[in-house]
Amino acid sequence: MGKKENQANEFRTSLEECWNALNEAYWASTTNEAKDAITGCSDFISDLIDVMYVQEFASRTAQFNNLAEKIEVGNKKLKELKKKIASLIHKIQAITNVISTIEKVMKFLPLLPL
Amino acid sequence: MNLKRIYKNYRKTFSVLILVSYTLLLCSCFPEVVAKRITTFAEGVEMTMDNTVSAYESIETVYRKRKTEEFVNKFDPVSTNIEQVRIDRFLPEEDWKARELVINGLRQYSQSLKEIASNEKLDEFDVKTKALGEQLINIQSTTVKTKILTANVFTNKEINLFTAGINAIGRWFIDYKRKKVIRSTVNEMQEDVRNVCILFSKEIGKSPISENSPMIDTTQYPTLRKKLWKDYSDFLRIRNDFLRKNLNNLSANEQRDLKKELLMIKDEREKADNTLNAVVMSLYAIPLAHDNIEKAFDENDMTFMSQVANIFKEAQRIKNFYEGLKTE
Repeated sequence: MGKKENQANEFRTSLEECWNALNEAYWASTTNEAKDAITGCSDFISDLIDVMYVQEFASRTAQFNNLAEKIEVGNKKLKELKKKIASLIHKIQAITNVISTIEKVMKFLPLLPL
Repeated sequence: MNLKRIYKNYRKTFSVLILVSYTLLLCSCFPEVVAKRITTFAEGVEMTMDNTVSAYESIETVYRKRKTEEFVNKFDPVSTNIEQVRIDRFLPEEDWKARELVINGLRQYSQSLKEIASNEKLDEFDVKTKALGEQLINIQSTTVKTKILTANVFTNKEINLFTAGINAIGRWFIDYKRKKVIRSTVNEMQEDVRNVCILFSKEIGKSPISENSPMIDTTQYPTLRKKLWKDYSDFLRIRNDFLRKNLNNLSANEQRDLKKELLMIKDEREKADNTLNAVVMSLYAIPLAHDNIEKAFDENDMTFMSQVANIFKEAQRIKNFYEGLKTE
């Protein structure tokens, strides 16, 4: 982990700790003044945490993209097999159709002046 | 070559074909139980993927609730320009799309496994070969044949045997191919499936975490569990702010309803967190079962099925919880 990342992590952790402390203080406080003061801070810290979180989640997106490509490879192989099975069934159907056509043609044969 | 000799050659080839096909039928079989096991596994993966999508959706829903509540509390009808107010998604669209692509990829993978393992295509193949046999018999029995051909080339019984032979060879081909492809694909996909599940589990948040608040867990990175807990907690606080600021303007019943709602939100926060934890457990169970898919082919081995059961353990409860959230 780089120095910059370390600093970002430390900053985020300190924000999380701060949010947690504010949250506990809010419910522990018994006056409107104290709750008002805390809630203003909490909103601000909460939004900062969100910004840090979005960055962290976004940094994982490349990993997800990479995995999506790999899974696609496996899916292609399975798709190929499904095609092979379908083609086998199609071939049998095609032969059946040919025979059915021959049968139809043969019905007319006696009518021809052979 | 006269007609008689052609007929004899056909009969010889015919006998060999029947022998080969029945030998193949004896050598290969993809028992119903294997198909069922793989189908159950695939359904477990699909359900977990649905639950993973719901997990991300719940993050967006609660985030939106919190931001709306925050906005409503700060809303000043004199100075606020409502046209400029926008509540964006928490996770930007492009980042969500990348995750959705992986989820859909894994869904498609399990769907394909299910389709290949199921006997649906075999049944279709049986229907087609049966139709072929019937067509051949039809051609034999036409009055045309009796007028044109002087002798019966094949009997109906022989035609039935012939089509049964084609059916056996085709079945063997399908069985052999699907067994081979399932084995090799699963082996190749093991690492990727594991990585996908680990990555999603990591993003949602590992267990165990602090009893009181996931915000002070031992995980040194942001997780959906932390995010969800924070947004529910903020939502609670902001709703409480509304209550305390409007105590004098609310009737006793309105106050009672709001207080009740606060308790319900707190309860929902815990359930939502537990549900995310259960999604992680299902995600952990997928690679374990997937790695052992080979054992699904051994009818006496129950390892695979007991691991599949872990995927389903809480799947229904998770589904119910998220469905409840959607209807709220």
